[in-house]
Amino acid sequence: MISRVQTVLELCSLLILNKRWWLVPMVGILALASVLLVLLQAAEYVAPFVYTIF
Amino acid sequence: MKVLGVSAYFHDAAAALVEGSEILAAAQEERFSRTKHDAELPLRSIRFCLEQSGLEARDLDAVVFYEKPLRKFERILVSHLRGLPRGAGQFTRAIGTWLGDRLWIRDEIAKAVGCPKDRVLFSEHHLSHAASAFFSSPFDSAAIVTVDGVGETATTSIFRGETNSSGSKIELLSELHYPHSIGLLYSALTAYLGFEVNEGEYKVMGLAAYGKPRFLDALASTCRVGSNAELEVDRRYYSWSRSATQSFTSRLEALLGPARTPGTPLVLPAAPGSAAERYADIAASLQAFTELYLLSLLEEAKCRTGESKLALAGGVALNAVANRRLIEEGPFQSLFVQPAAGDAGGALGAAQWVSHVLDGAPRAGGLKSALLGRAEDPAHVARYLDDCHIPHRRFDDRGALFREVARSLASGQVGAMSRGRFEWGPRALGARSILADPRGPSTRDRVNRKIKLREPFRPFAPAVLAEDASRWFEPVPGREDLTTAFMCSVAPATLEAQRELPAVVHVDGTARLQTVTKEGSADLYALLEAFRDETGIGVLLNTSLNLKDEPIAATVADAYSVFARSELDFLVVEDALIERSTA
Repeated sequence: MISRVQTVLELCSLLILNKRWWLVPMVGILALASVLLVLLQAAEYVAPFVYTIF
Repeated sequence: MKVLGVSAYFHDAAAALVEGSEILAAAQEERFSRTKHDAELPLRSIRFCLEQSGLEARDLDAVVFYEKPLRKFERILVSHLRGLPRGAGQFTRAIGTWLGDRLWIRDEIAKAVGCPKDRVLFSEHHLSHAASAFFSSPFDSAAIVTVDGVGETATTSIFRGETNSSGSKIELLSELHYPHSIGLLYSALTAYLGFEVNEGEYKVMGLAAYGKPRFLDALASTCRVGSNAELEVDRRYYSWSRSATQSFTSRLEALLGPARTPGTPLVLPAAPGSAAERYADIAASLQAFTELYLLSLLEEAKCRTGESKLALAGGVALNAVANRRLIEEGPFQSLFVQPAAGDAGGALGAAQWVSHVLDGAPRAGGLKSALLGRAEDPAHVARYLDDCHIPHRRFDDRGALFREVARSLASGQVGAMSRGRFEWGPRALGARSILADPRGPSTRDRVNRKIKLREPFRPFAPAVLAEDASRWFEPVPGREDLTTAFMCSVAPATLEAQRELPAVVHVDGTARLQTVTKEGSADLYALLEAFRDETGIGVLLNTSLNLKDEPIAATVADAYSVFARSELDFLVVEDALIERSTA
């Protein structure tokens, strides 16, 4: 999970480096949402509610 | 240093394992998964590479992915956002796919291989192509040109490669960026002509021979070639990100006429004024435009590098017809194309780049043979044939087997051969091939209609003993053509070949030949010698051992499956001969 967060940070750095900072919020939210989904699915009792949340 | 290269997630996923200058194993995933152009992470190919070299994942010093996914994701985001609201559906799908697995490729690879995450490295798409071409070539220094659809952002690149006593380096000199791409243009027109993108480009090349380039000016008006080989695609005619299935607009149809509906009959040679004639003419115009653009690109590469040798890679380098023209009319004395010039080859290039450039491994004369895939264990083959009660004859003497096969082929039979390690790249080079006597005028129709079940206008390639090649096919005077060993260029057939070998000469009088050496493929070489002893001709028709829309066979089961479902007369699997009359 840590490496996924690192990947998101790396991607955000790349966008800022290329002067595309305006993409950072969108990418950050989308990527962190996907990380959150994985986290939720990993939790046995929470997984059934993921569908209803999203 | 042991380095595993991996390419995946676009098309033609592959893995290649390199130790120093030696390529231990390389294979495309489709051979194992049986899914044509399989793009998934190549788990089976990775496993094969490790098994073939007797290594464990922990023995690997590095695992290299062939491109930089974050830069690619950025390009995809930006290009889709610029096109919104058009292409919104494709944008949503792309986001889903990327957030699903592609963005986390480091984790995915580490998990698949079973290695620590810090051993996973990333090359660049065109650098991987360039490395695969240069380090597989015999050149110590050369210009390297890579041309494909698109990598991270680059679509066309010029590099200079050099190996000297202090090591090897590959230097980027110039590149062209998305959306301006001759590869995407070729694919868009492939779709326009009713063929599947990333699969039908070969068909367009075959179709072009039936047409005249009367749409060349029209095409040139949609895609301008400027000075320094800059290409500018007019996006009013093409839209790469709007739709996953159609990358041309209605404006292109207004210019060239209605697009061909996939699957509609294409009768060739076409009747004057027919739609088929127009499609053939558009294919010919596209081919001519591509060749002219590549020639201008090579002039630019020559200017920038001052080199006399050229290594070419990227999907466009598989255009065998263009390659011949580049050798004949281009500014370079020597041309080399590696057998897996498309994206699969990126796996090999990424591994070679780490091995030679980062680790400084010395080089060893280039790629001599494309037989880098898995071989079948003869004991397994024997067990398979016995367990399935398949009648066969076993030959302990390889010479006797090839003499028998040569006699059968000379009598007009069409057979297949599956022996040794399978080929690296999209061509069957004798290890998994359907073979026939090239002399019979009806052989081509028979193989096309009853065995391969494919379009009748598509030509078949000849495999020829290297020492006999100039008798049948015209060499390029004063130039060194290093593309024919891997079937990567065409050559005009001599008058004798046009008369004697009608099954392998295309309608335009050329053939996509494979020159066979003992070093490149000992089995095919021995069979060609046996066939020459039998007939006086060291040439065979050679096409891939598969049926329409299937990957080329890998295992004995794949090969027997093709035999069982087609009208092949015989099948050789390792040292066993299976004949139709007894099977």
